[in-house]
Formats: sequence, C-alpha cells, structure tokens
Amino acid sequence: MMNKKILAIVPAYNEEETIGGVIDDLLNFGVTPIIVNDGSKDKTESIARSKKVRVISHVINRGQGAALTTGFAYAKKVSPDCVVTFDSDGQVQAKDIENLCESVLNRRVDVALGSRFLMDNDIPNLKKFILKLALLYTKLTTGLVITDTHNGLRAFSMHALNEIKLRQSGMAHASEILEEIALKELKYTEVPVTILYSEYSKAKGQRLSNSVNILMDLWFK
Amino acid sequence: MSITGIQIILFVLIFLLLVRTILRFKEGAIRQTSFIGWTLLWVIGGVAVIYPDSTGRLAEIVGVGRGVDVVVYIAVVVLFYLIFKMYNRLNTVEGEITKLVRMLALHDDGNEKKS
Repeated sequence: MMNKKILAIVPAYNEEETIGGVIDDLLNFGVTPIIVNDGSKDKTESIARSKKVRVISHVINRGQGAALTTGFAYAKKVSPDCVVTFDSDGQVQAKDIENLCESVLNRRVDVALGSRFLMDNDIPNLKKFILKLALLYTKLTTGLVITDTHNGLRAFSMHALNEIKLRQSGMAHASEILEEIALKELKYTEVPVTILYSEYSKAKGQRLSNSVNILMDLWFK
Repeated sequence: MSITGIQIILFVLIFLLLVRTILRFKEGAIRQTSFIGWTLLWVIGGVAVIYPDSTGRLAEIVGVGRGVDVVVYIAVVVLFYLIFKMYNRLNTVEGEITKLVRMLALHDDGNEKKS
C-alpha cells in the first residue's frame, strides 16, 4: 500500500478538539489528508494548517455533503489510486484504511464501504435501531443490501468518483452516495471497520431526529 | 343590506394594499403590467368583500357549497403553488451559493503557499 497514492478527504466543521489527532493518525499510516474546512468558526483551520497538510476552506458552512464534493473535485485534479472519505470527529481509525482500500486498489471493486456491524463494535442502542431502519429503507429504494448505510469511512476508485454525481449538501449525501452506486451500477463491497464512540463524538453526532430531515431532503430536494 | 365588521376590516386592508401598490408604481418599483395585475387583484378582492353574494354565484357555478369555501379553496391551491415555486427557488439558490463557495475554496487553495 505504501507505493500507492491514497487521498483521505476529511470534511471538518468546528472539530478543533479532534482534527489534530485525526491528521496525525492519517499521516502515520502514509495516507495523504485533504482537510476540507467547512466554514469552521473555531481553531480547526489553523490547527490543520499547522500540520502542514493540504487544507481547502469553504468561506461559509455548506454541509458535509458539499464539503465531500469539494474534496472529490480536488481529488479529480490529482487522480490518486484511491480516495477515502474520513470523518474528522475521531470515530473512524486510519488503521482500517489498508483493508478498506485493498479491494479498490486491486480493481476488484469501485467502492469499498466501511461497516461497523461486520465487527464487534459497541453501538448505542437507539442509534443501532435508527441505522437498521436506514438499512431497510436503502434496500427498498436502491436494492442494495448493506449493513451500514451511514458510515463515514469509504474508499473510491477514480472511476467511481467520476461516475458519482453528488447534489445533496447536507447529511443526506450518505444516502445519495448509495443511490448513485446503485444507479451507476458500480461494483462495491463492505469491509469491517472500528467505530470509536467517545462522549465528544456522541454529543456532536447527528441528532437521531435528523433522520426526518434527511428523508425530506432525499424525497423533495 | 347590513355591513358586517369583517367586511369593513377586509375592505380597509385591501384599500391600503391598493394605495401601497399605487405608491410603489409611482416610485417606479413596479412595472406597468404588474401594476395593472395587482390592481385588478385588489379590485376583485374589494368587489368580493362588498358584494359577498358574488362569491355565492361563483360557488353555484363550480358546484361548491358556499362562496367563502370557493375563495378558501382557490387560496389554498395558490398558496401551495407559491410555496412549491419558492422551495425550488430556494434550493436552486442554495446550490448556487455552494458552487460559489466551492469555486472560491479551490481557487484559494491554488494560491495558498504549498503546505
């Protein structure tokens, strides 16, 4: 993996607590971090810049979907061997990237999706319930049978990036990515990944009631 | 024919809206065609308020119980239509803002000292 170029798109909005650690984690594993600062009002940007990694900044907050799309736009200019999406709140681990990218780098699939359910992870019950509902919804609307539809850790080949058209700026992008995978008939696989829930990430994470907003975005936007 | 309180209130409101429309037209804030359009709307509204039975005639024609019901039904449809248009417009504008922000972000990135 060391001689392959892997880009990690890290969308970040007010993550001064964790962004430093996330960047260190990625650098440790030989992955190139691309931080997309989505209009943060705290020290996220300055911390990221101090680590001497590429930081692309939105002047105002546009949403995680928009931040990822900006990251993808940048990646298309660079054309790496593999593009990974990586959360900035410390929930996902860089050590999982090697496994994640393997099938993409071997050209067996276009997209590798991380799944917290394929491994023994400690997942809060209500969150688990909502995610299971999301799985059912995904199966019904896209035909894809996936165990974790809202996992921030994903790997894409350049072919996949060029095929996928993301229009959702908010959190509905996760579902939109799956819809695009189904629509463009991209080859995909799921890979077990570790999700670390901390008090910080649980507090900052999406309110479960946001599921309603996501559905409204998917159906009406 | 006795005049009800609601007729007075509505008539006054419509009259004020008509005055506002005329003033804005004089300021040049409204085009001539739009001025005619809005004025017609207020006049129709005013007539419906002064002669409430006129809506009853309309109701008979389209097969609805009361004149007031016809007015409300039309108003609801118009509102839905307007909201639908505004919602779409809003989404388009938000998308354009995001495109602008992205352009700025990628452009600035090109100019940043290579880190």
